[in-house]
Amino acid sequence: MFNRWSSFSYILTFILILPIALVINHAFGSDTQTLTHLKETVLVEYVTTTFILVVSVGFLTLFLGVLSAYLTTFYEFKFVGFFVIALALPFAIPTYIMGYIYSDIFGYFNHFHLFLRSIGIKEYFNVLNIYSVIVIMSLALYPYVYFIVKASFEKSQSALLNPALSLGSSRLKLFFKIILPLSRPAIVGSLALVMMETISEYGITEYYNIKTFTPAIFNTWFGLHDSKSATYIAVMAMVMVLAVLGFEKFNRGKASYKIESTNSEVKKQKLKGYRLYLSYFFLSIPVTFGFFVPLIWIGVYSYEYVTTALDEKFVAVLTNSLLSSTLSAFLIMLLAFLVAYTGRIFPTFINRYLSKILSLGFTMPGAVIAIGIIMLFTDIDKWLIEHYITSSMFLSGSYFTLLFAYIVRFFAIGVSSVESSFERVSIDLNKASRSLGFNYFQTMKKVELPLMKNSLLFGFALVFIATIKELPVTLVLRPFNYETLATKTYTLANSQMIHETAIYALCIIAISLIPLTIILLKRHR
Amino acid sequence: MILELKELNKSFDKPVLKDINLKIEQGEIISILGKSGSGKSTLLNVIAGFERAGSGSLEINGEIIFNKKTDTEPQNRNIGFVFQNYALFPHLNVEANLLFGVKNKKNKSIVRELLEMVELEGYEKKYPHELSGGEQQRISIARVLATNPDIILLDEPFSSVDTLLKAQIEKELLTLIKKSGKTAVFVTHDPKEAMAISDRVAFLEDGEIVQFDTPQNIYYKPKTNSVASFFGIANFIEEKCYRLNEIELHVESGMYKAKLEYSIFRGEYHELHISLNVEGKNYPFVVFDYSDFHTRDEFYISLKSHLTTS
Repeated sequence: MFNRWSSFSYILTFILILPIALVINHAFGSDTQTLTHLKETVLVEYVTTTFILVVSVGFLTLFLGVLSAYLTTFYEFKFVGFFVIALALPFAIPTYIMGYIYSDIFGYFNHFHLFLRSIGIKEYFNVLNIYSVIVIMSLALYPYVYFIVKASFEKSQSALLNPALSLGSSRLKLFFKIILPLSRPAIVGSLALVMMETISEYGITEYYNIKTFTPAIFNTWFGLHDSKSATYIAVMAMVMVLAVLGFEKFNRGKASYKIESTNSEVKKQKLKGYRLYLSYFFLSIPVTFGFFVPLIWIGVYSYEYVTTALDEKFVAVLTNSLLSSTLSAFLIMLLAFLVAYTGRIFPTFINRYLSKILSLGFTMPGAVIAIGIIMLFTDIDKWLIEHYITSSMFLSGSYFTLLFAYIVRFFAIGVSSVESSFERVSIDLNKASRSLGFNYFQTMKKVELPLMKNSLLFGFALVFIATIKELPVTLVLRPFNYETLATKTYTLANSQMIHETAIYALCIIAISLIPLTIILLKRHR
Repeated sequence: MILELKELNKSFDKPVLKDINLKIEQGEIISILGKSGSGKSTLLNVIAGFERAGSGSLEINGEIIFNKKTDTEPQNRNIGFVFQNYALFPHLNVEANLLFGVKNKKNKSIVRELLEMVELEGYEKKYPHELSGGEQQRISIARVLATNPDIILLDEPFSSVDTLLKAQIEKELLTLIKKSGKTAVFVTHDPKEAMAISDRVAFLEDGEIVQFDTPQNIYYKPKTNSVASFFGIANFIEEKCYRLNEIELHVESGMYKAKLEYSIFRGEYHELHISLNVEGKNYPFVVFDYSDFHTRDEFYISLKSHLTTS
């Protein structure tokens, strides 16, 4: 159906999907010399390293996330409320910042080794290796699994615990036979998110010199100036992401995992004895190393550098971050709302799938999107110059490019939060308003927008956090001399001024923590 | 003629409405009755303009609102729609809900009049969640009446009402609509409800209107077996339909010999499941019995009159 609403969505989809299409298109064709060379030498290493990293991080996050969700959902013990919240907090710390912090703590002249030497151990443990990256990434990413799986556990427990107990099943049997299988989509879904983040990660892999796809794409593009090979690697990264998604889809199969929500009272089991202490020990690990140790480090160095760091430049960086995150979150929510609303009022087959297509940018590594956008805007600029409309590069390297990239990258977060809140607003309200004399646009303004205010703000906050933490895309596409909190921590860390990053990291974490705590407290209640 | 549907068709994957023809007069109350999936809600949505018909035409007061060339938007059809779940705007209070479709928002007297009409005076500042189901329904009807529509469409208005309250709310709603003098089209799957409230009933089956008639004719002169069965227990002997009150039981003599298979106690009466022997063939038959015949296992039945069927 071609009407104004649908046409807008089609055009938007076309524009936002263009960068990814360009990357794919560019990658195929005759091999360049570098590509042949790459294939013969390092390409295999990129693939295997990324694969090892993805699988190991997957396993470790699964272990940390599922077990902590299990303990905090099914058992009652002292401080459980504290752990419920604290376990989600590492969400606020970007992986690359965690990476910088641990590389510093374990540096030759720093805390850990100083301590070792003080007790007479002279050995040096170098942490700049793939094993530390696996551990650090797992500490940073397990909250995805914890968060999503815990929600699923809670729902199935409240619906099924009492019926199962009344049928004579033990709690343990219930967990393994029913709740765990029922939570499979949540587990696999969150695992897929973790894997995609791992493929996409740039800051830490580059800093620790781990040869995964993302640094490889950038090095080939900017170091070797070989766009063909870069896009070729990008397509390989895409294939890996698609494999992850395929695995998730395949796993979901045809079974129905839908559970009706109930509010039945659940009596939790009490943890006692050695089990209790083991649980405390286990739960403390991710909370301590995923949140409190980095936070203390940041606190200490922020305090130390607060006087030197708080200058005009700092204010500029902070303003840049706040402005670009606010602006892109606003634009994303606006566009996501329009697309989701079109799917709501014209629920044709295509319209319902547009949001899924538009969400592709989120699954693709930031590096892929970045080079896709460079290609797109260079092409447009060339066309503009050829037709004497401009004399120099007009769009490439402009602020608009960066905003556009954020929209491509994070549209999925916005649209999924809009769609889930649309589900809670009956379509009958829309029809009622129209039968009372208002058109779609007026209805949207008078009925849906006011009803969805809170969920839209929530979606806005999620996009805002994602944008403020974003590194690879910003790094590549930012205008000349333009720094955000994320790029500033990156450049400082890479100039061996790692302690100076503390104050910027503190800002990122503080800004992310505000909405995160609100969400957590709301859910906990 | 207030509303006229001509040769209306609508398909999703398969045809849902087939050549619907209906003529509805000013002030009439019509029920569209059918099983779930018969296409009745689709028909209502097509009339309201929420869904687009495949072909055919729709006229209100002689003015075409839908045909090949025209498709008037729902907001311009001047049709009121009462939803199954009332669809009151939860973020607005009663007054704002009532004034939602009214052009002159300062006209508070209309709010007072409407609330008086639905007997909910003093409810202006209440929010939908503070009202009972019945009150919400009355407000949703008042909200529709506020815009002075030509026709009111009601989609299963009693489906979420308590069985105990249903009769009372039916009566209230009927009085309200009659008082307003509006034409109304109900969708329902409950034959008792349809007969209680409507001037005429349109029976929809697999997207086709099988019979459009008064409740009496639909009950006593059903055109097909499915219409007959839909309106309460019907007995068939050789394609003829007999209602329960058309049957007399005799201990001796009479026309047909019957054997009691089993009986169900229903309080004031017994439901007798019998097999009726007609010319050597056995027919399953159901009879209501207020007497003590059920204690015997054999008796005779005279069928006082039979109803014509197709």
